[in-house]
Amino acid sequence: MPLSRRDFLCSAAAFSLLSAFVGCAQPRKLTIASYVWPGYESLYLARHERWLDPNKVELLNTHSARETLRAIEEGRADAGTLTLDEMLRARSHGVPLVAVLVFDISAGADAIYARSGIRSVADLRGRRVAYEEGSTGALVLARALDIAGLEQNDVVRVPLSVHEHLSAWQQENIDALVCYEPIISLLAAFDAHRLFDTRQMPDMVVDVLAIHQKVLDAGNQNAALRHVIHAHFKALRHITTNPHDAFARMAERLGLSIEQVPGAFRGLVMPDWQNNRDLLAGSQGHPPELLVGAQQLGALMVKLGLLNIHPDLDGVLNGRFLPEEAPR
Amino acid sequence: MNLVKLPRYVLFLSAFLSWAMLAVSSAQALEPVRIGVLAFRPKTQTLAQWQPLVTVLKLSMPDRDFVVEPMVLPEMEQAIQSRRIDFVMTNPGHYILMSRRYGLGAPLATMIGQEAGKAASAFGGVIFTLANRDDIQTLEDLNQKTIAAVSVDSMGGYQVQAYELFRRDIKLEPAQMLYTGMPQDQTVDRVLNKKADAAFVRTGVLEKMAREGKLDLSAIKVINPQHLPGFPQALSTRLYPEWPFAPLPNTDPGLSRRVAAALLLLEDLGQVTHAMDIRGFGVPADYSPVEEMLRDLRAPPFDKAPIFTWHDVWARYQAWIVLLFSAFGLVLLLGARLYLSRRNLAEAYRRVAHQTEQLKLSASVFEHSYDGILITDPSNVIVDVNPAFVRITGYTKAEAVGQQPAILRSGQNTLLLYQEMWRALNTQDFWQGEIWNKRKNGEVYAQMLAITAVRDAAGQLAHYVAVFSDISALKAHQAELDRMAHFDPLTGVPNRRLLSDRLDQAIARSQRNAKPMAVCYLDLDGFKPVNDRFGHEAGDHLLVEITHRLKRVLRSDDTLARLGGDEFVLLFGDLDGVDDLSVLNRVLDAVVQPVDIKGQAVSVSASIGVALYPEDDVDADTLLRHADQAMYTAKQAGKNCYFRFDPSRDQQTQERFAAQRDIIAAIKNHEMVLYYQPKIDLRTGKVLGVEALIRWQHPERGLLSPALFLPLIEDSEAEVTLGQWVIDRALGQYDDWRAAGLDLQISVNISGRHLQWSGFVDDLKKRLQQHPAALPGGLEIEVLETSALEDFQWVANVITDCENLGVSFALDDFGTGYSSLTYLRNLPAKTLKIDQTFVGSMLADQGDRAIVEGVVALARTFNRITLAEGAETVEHLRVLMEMGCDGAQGYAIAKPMPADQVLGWCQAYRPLLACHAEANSGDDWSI
Repeated sequence: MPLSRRDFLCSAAAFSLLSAFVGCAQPRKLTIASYVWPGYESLYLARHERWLDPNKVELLNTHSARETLRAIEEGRADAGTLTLDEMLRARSHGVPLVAVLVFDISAGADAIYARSGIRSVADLRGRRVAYEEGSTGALVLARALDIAGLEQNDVVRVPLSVHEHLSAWQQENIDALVCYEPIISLLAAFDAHRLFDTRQMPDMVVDVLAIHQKVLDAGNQNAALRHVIHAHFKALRHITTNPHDAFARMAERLGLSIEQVPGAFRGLVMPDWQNNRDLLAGSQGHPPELLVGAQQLGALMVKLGLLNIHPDLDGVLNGRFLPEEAPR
Repeated sequence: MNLVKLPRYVLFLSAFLSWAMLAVSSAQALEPVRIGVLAFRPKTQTLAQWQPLVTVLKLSMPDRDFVVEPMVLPEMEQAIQSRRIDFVMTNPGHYILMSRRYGLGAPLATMIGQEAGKAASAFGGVIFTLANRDDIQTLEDLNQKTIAAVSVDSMGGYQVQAYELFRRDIKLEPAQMLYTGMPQDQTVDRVLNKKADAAFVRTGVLEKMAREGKLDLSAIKVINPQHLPGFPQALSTRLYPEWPFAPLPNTDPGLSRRVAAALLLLEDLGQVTHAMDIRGFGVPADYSPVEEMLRDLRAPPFDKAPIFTWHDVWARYQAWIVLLFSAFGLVLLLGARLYLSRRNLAEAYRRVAHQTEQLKLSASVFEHSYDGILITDPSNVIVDVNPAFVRITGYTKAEAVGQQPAILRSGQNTLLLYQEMWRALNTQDFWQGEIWNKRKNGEVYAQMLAITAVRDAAGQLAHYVAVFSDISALKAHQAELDRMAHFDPLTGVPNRRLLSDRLDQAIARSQRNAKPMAVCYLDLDGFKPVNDRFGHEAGDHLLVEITHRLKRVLRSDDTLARLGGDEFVLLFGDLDGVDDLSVLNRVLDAVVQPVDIKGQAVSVSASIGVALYPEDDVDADTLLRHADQAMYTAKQAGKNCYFRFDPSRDQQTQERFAAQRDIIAAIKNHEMVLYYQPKIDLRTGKVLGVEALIRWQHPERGLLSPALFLPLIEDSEAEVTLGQWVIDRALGQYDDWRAAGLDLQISVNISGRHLQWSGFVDDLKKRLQQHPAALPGGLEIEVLETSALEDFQWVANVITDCENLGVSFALDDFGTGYSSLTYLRNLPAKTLKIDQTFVGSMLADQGDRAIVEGVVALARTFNRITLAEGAETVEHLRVLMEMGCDGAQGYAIAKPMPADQVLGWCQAYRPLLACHAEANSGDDWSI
């Protein structure tokens, strides 16, 4: 693993007494890499509402899941907002990530859109389909083809980063697009209709806060981790009880109008703290519910060729940073 | 007014009244629906803004009239309280307050506002100051500044701003607030007039005032501006849902439904909405953020300290309560544990103290026990011994510990004993018994030993504990007791018990070696007089001396035993033949040698009965009894001799015993009777008395004379019994005769054995007490001269005692025995009865006549009375009288007769001699 910028700075600081005392002596902030996705907006809302202490937690903006993963791999971030399948894939590549919070479960917020004339997934045979390689988009596409009875090679895959999706669509060099909110809301302005979405693969696309195992092992970020999770639930409560204010504040980052924001959330199920506990920590006598989901997901990914072997799920979930009572 | 028109008028009037009444009722049904609208701008403007709503509602519900009433906050509160209006449209904060205070229905719809052509379904608050106020840039700068606001009840005009400051921990002091009341334009004026440093207004107010030309927006600046793309108005706070449109609780639900439908159907951007400056109405919003804000601000209706219930407390402080109670529980638990452990400690301490006491006691017992204690480990190595062990065994503790108990072995115990010991220890953990052990000095001693196998809690063998006591002394004592039980204490020879063993052994030996064995029953003759004359001490001395002599005669294998008194038994085994009894002559010789007692040479002899085995092939007891019988025979045979039991003669002996039993039975069966033979005084011819003579009225054999049965009981207990019966009967007869007027002395014959019975005098005394009339002189006792001489001194004492009682004595058959003058002098018998053999033949035999004369003379010399027996003829009587004999008895006078004939005989009696007849004529027979 190459020396990250941050590590380099710290190493350099070791030669400077001043820096040694002022810089590296300070406790490092918990850095979370995140790209734009409605489910992750709670973190930004929390930061805006000052529920997230900027001295404890730093949000590192990225453009895609791949970028987020890279940030974690390179040590620029301790954690990232990712989907469970992305996480499993990272783990299979030797990046030990652990899910400590479920932001949302996609139920329509990830979808395949096609130009008019393409009526079904089966019609995609031989077509150019854009998707974000190594991300949930690949899973959604593979699952859609699988359900439609197509081979993975029956379509022409066009790997595109998410921020390139809209322009690619406008340039009309793709026939279909595997995308997610808020792109979906923006696609409404164009000639695109939905062929497939995550409602047809329930509980498979789960957005989580994934933290590097070594951070957990070090243990010095536990308080910050609890803090950020607590802040998320405060923001989530604000979103559900006062969507007028919350959506208005998200509109700018999502690149949507205030009126469009509710639509972007329409395809998300956002589990509250108790549901999170059920998913990650399990309740008395019951294993974490997400463990079952992860097993099914792992099996599916192997079947779809997205993973070579069944993932080792030992320690993949960790619910011990979740609040044990309603956050206030 | 004529009568014709009157009815018509009346008709008209009633018609009018009917219409009027209808009109009234119609007016009631059509009472306008009143809609109260909060006026946060001037009332006229508010009314103008909302008047189109009346038209919209009238269009959808033509049957109803609608009235919009702009109201400021207090007016609206009053109207809601009095239910003067049907619907209310007010800001969310006020709605919640009114709803809480007076009750309002759930919102039917939420207004969607607009600004600059954009929808605004939410509103918030604006905080502003003059643009040139450089000192006020952020919310924090509002500290201490004067702030204008309409009132604390205004949501958009106060509460949202206050909440924003509250969330930033900026406190609004009441003193810095300047309340203007509605409309909100006034607060803007305060800032513009510099009466206030800053002001709070609802979103949209500034823009409206600007449009109305009342405000130059460039003159002011918004504090804490929120840049929300697409939100059309200046904003300093969070957004909240727009105003609700709600019914009062009493409003007709049907009306509410129709009004709601009309509101929701309002066309966006239509003429009406445009006129009202709104986008229309949407579905009711969630007003909980408003409520939360009011709660946090403690604004009405949440300004009062909440009434907490335990449930609230539980809901809010659940974790803390659980923690607190857990902690408390923990404290209690720890307290309880502490208490318990203290108690356990105290208990343990007490137990330890108790056990220490016990241990001390145990140690003390161990130390001071008189019994030796030895403790070994499971491998039988001594681990501890106590001082008593040291005392008994002679081994010191140091010498004993580490050794095995085998050091104490004497070698005198059988292997079997040890095997039994270990078997008991292994199976029952306990053994007890006697064992011979050896002291350190080699002395073997007996000990009583108890060994216990001690096991630990797990049942594993931990120790053997042996407790023992030295029982040597006990053994010695036991031996002494044993000796006492088997040997005669006076002479040291075996007693009857040991004799029994020896006899058994001797019989067994005889059976083995086929040699005869002799059982000799030895009774000393004349021992009793020695005892009487010289005392028991002398008697004992005699017995010891005799014993010594006998021992010298005996061979080592022979046995000498003393049965008690002067009776001994000697056992001689290995005889060469049944006639090999020469040893007995040596025994007789040894006995008969004089013994020196108190300076006098005293001599006794022995009568010995011998029973020979196996000639007399009976058991040991019977053999001894036969020897006893033979001894009696020897005595009868003249003493100082031995008599050999003849098994063939045993038949007679058996008969004798049977006779004795029969006689005793006969007495009980009243078969014994007394016959009486009169005696007369030869000097006077008078009747002296009668001699009682026994007869046995045998049920089968008829009347038996004493000669037929008395010999059978001679020298037996039956003699005594019979004698006693005779005395009783005679005394009874005496009383009977006395009662009949006849005073007749009765003489009875008493055997020597009876007389020598030690209880004779006392027994006689007791019997005489039953018959006091017989004393003195009523009873005479006749004894044989020979029996009197047998134990002379004793008989002499008895006679003296009886004479003193008033009972006289006669010596019967005088002349047949030794008739020694010494005896005669010393015997106090009053009467001498001359034996009939001399009397009967004296008429023909001069020798006998001389004897009779001699006896009479002798008696006279010694002052005794003589009475002749066997006077068969009157001639006899005459001769005797002439001799000087005092009395006579015989057939010449009368034969023995039954008692019932005596009285008649006496009455008929006439003296036989002529001399007497004259002298006694006319005399009464009864003396």
